[in-house]
Amino acid sequence: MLSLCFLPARAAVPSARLVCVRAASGQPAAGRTDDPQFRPLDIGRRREVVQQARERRRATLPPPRHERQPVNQQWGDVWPAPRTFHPDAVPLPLRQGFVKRPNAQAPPGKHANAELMKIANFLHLTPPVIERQCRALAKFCTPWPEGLTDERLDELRPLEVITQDFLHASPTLRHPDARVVSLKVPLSCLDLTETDRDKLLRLVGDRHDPKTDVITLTADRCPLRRQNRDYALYLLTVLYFESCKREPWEAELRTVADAEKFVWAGSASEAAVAPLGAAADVVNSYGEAVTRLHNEGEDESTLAEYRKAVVALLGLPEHVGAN
Amino acid sequence: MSRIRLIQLGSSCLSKANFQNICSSGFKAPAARGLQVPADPTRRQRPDLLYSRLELELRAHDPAVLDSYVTFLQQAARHLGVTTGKLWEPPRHYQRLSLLKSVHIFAKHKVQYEARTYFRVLELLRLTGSTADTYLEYTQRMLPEGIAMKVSRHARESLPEHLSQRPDQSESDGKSA
Repeated sequence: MLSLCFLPARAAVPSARLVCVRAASGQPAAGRTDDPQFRPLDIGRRREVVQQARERRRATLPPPRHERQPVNQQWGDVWPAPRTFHPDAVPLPLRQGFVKRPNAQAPPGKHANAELMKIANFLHLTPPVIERQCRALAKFCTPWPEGLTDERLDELRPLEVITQDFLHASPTLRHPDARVVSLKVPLSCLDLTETDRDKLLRLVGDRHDPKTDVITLTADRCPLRRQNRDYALYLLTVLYFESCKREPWEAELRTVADAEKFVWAGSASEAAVAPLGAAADVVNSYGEAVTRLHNEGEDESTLAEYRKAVVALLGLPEHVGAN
Repeated sequence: MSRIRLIQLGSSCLSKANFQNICSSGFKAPAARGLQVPADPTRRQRPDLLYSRLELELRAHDPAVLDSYVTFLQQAARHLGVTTGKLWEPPRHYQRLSLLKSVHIFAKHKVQYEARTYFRVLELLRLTGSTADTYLEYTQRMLPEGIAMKVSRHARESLPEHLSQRPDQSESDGKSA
C-alpha cells in the first residue's frame, strides 16, 4: 500500500522497456535529447564509443616523425649512432616477419615489430656517412712506402711475426690464443753451409716447409705475448748457433752408408774408374750418370745416360747394348 | 700505520717500468687511438710497423648481419686506401644439443637447442702500423651485436743483427777488433 504512493504516474514516464529498446537500436543522441531526466544505461564498451575516443586521442598527437622529415635532410644527422630500430623515425615502408601463407598475407609492418627491433640495423652506416667518417680518419693513416714491392720487402724484412687479437662479447676480456706468437723465417736469409743446413733441418723437424723453405716457430709457453716473442727469437738464435757448431763426435757419425744421397767425389766408383785413364770430361760425365742413377733411381732416361757414359768411358762401339 | 704501508707498496709495485709494460701490451696512446693530441716533439716516437697482411676472421649468428658488416668493411677499406685481398666463406657450423627436458627421469622427453655460426674471412694487404690501427679501431667500434672478430697480424721485421752473419765470423771480427 505504501509503495503505491511513491509510484510515479504511468502516463508521464515512458516505460522502461521502451527506453531499453531505443538504446539497443543505437541512437544514443536521440535517446539523450528525448529524455534529459533518464539517460539510457550503457554498461558495455560499445565499439563506436571506444573508436571515437581513440580517434580523438590520436588527433591530439602530432604526426609521426617520418611524415614531418624534409626530403633533403642529412640522414647521418638523424641516425648518428647505432640505435634500436624506431619505426616513426625511419621513412621506409619496411616489412619483416614470417607468415604462414606468403601468397595471401603480407609480412608484418614496421610498427611494434619485435623481429625488426631485435636485429642489428646499419642505418647509422650509410655510404655517405662511411665516406665522411673515413675522410676525417684519413689523416691518421700513412701510405705504404713507394717502391716497396713484395720482393724488396722479402729482402729487407724477411722475418714474419704473426700475432692474433680477439674482439668478442664474453664475460672475460682475455683469450688464451692472444699470447701466442709465430715466427716465420726463410732459410735463404741465414748464412748456412750444406752441413749447417742439414743439421738445422734435423733439429727443426716438421717445422720446416720444404715447398717454401720456411721455418715456423710457434711460442706459447709464456703468459705474455712479449715474452713469447722474445722466446721465439731466442729459439731461432739457438738453432742457428747450434747448426753452425761442429762437435768432435759428429765426424765419426756420418759414414758413407749413412749418407742419404750418393756423392761421386771420394766414392769407390771414382776410385775404380781412375786406373782406366780416360779423359777428364768422359770421367765427369760417367760420374754424373752414376750419381743420377743412385739418387734418382732407375729410369729410361737415367739408364740411357749411364749406357752412353759407359760406352764412352770404355771406348766400345756405339751399337753395343743398344735396344 | 697499515694504510701508509699499503700506499708505499702500491707506489713501488706500479713503477714506471711496470706501468709502461702494462700500457704497451694492450693500451694505446691517445694519438694511436685516433684522438687529437698536440704533438710533443720531446716524446719518443715508435717507428711505424709494416704488415704484409692482416686477416680478419668474422664469426656471426646471423648471415644477413655478417653480409652487411662485410660490405661496410670493404667500403671503409676503399675509402682509407687499404688494399683488399681475398674474401672467402669457411663452411658454417651448427651446434645442436639434445638435452633432457626434466631434471629427474622422463628420459623420453627431450628439448633441442641449436647455435648457428657463420664465418667470413677478409684479407688486407700491405698496411703500415698507423693505417692498420686506424682501420681496425674504426671497424671494431662499429662491430654490431652478434659478430666476433679475430685479427691475425703478419708483421714484417728485419733479421736481428746477431743472426746476420755466422757466429765464428763475428767471433773472429770481435777478436780482431
